[in-house]
Amino acid sequence: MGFLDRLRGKGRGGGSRGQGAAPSRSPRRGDSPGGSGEAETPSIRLRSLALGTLFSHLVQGGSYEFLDLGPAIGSNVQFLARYVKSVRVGDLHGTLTGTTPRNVERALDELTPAGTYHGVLAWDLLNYLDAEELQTAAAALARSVAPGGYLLAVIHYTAQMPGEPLRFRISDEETLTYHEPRTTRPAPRYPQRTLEQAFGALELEHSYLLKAGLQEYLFVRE
Amino acid sequence: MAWKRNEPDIPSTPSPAPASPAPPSRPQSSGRGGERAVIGGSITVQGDIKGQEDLTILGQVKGTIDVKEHTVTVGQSGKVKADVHAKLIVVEGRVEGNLFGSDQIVLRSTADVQGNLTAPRVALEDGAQFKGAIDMEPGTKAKGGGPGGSTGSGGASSSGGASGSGSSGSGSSGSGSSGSGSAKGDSGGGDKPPSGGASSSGSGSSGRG
Repeated sequence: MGFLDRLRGKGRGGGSRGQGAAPSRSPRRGDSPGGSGEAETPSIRLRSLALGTLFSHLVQGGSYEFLDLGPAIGSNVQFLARYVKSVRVGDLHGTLTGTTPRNVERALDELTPAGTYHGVLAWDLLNYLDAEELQTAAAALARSVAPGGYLLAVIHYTAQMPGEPLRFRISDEETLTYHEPRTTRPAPRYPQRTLEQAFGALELEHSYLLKAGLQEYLFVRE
Repeated sequence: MAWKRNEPDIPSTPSPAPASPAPPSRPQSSGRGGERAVIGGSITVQGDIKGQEDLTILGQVKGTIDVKEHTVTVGQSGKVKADVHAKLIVVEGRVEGNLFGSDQIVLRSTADVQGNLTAPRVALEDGAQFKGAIDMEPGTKAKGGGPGGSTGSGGASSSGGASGSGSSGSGSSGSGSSGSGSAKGDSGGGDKPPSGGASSSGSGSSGRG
């Protein structure tokens, strides 16, 4: 069975708009945010339906290539290594933040060779792009997804979102942890239609509303 | 793929080298019967380095590094613009280049790496800055593994010697490193004995069937 075949019709959510599980807060303060130098805030566990769906389509020991647009997180790389042959770590938000003027197209240029990735993990990135950047990034990312490949993104649907993108850590195939944000800022609240149009080459397979003020999107390239 | 929780023999590096001059270079045992060369903190090497012993870099290297059967450690003060080929590569400093580890690559929390990593096992500690691709070598993945970073401990220890040029030899042992290119600076680095304990990062758990 090819990769494309495995991707078809095996989602756990059973359709769009599944109801996500409520996040649970962990009293322990381990699991350092890492790299940011920030003081630790409580860790929150989140059941990620999109992640569960994505991994349900993969087989361990596969030869997948992934693009992780978040910062380098060792535990994520190690987890992904169960499934993937290669993972490219992009840290797009960090790159844009450290570059003046911001240039999404240039930042993504080397990261997004056409038709390469079986999985793109955009995480919390899209919220931190303005409308024009979103269009540019979405077009580049959509091109980089291989036929049958997936793109996972998370959007804040509440009026306020964390001041910095959440740093998701993969605990298992359907559980993420992140640290409670220390600051907030207004969220662009990109509607689903806007995202679907931006990722025009991809098809929205699942959209999950989570109770944490998050909405997960799982796009697939036909 | 193997993401082992505890890996022995991953060396820790000396602290950044002091600015003052140091005694002459003297290769030291790496604790595994081999030798270790140290490029001190004030040394700049431009060119290709090949060798048959472990190499610790506290200074700057531009070129290529090839010690395929041994360990390359880039200390916190180390700055490397080079492709590195080694058995085990441990980075605590800055690297621009591609790293090829036939056994393992470890990026410690202070590491800042831009380049691609190729190794059967790769460990990134929290705080490590990394941009690039991580490629697991074909046929070496299915050894188990799992999520979560952890830190183990090993037993490697050494006392360092400073190398004041681009090459160092191990004299009586017959092994040595050779550097083609130029080396600048005095031998002010690398004379500080490394800490004796070694630690490794990784994780281990059984994969899901």
